[in-house]
Amino acid sequence: MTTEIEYTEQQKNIIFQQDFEPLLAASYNFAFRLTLDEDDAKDLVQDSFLRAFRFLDSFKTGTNAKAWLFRIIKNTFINEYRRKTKEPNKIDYQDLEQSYNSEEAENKASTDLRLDVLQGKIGDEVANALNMLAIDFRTVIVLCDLEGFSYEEMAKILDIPIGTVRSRLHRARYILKEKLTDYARQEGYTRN
Amino acid sequence: MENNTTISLHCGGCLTCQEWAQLVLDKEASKSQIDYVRKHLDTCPHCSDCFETDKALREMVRCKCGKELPTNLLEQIRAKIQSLYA
Repeated sequence: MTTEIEYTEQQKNIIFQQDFEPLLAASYNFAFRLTLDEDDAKDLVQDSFLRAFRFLDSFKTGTNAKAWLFRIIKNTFINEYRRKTKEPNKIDYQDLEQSYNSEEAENKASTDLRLDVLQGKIGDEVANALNMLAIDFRTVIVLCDLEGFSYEEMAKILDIPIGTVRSRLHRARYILKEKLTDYARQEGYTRN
Repeated sequence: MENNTTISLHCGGCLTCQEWAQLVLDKEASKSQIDYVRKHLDTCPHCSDCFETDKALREMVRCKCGKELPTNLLEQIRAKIQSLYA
């Protein structure tokens, strides 16, 4: 249950400057990874910050401002932007499940992508591979690896159980590695 | 003698290690899980290789997936807030 606190205009401005403005770069990056479009990301961030300011009375100072703001960004995206987002080559869920459930496939993906290949040859391909992931998988990778949220914080931001956070992360990383392995193979960096 | 790949498919130690290694890398592991993973990685080249690759992948995401902030976005947001709520 959220308790509302009535801040004065001056208090609101101070809270906004101190707690939320420093989060602008991270917010824009998150918005871009959701929308995959620079203009939409700008609009999404702007809308989310305005919403945050408007509902600042439901934010308690000293609590996790970043998680609170990212939840607003995620909700604003779902409510207003998701329909028009350009989703790149979506992964067929059934194919994914079958592939994921194969122990052999999982083992293969984790052994084919080697450290030296990843670091030396395909580092720049990581952003492309990330953008190719379905949005639910892309989101957990961004929240965890880029923004450093804990599983519990991610569960709150995304309104899903911690177990789902873990399984999404696991699948997302598996697909990410598969994509990079495919790319490495195409470029001749690995055998097979 | 089994090779490393075969061991990873059948050895419970490797399966547990690979599951818990993700928690270690995500800073979500308990002390006993960290100890288990550390001990296993010392003796298993395959899991050690996977661990380093997974660690590097996270670092790559961190280093390569940032997006430069557009100029004036902060000013635009401040101006909008001023016009709506001042």
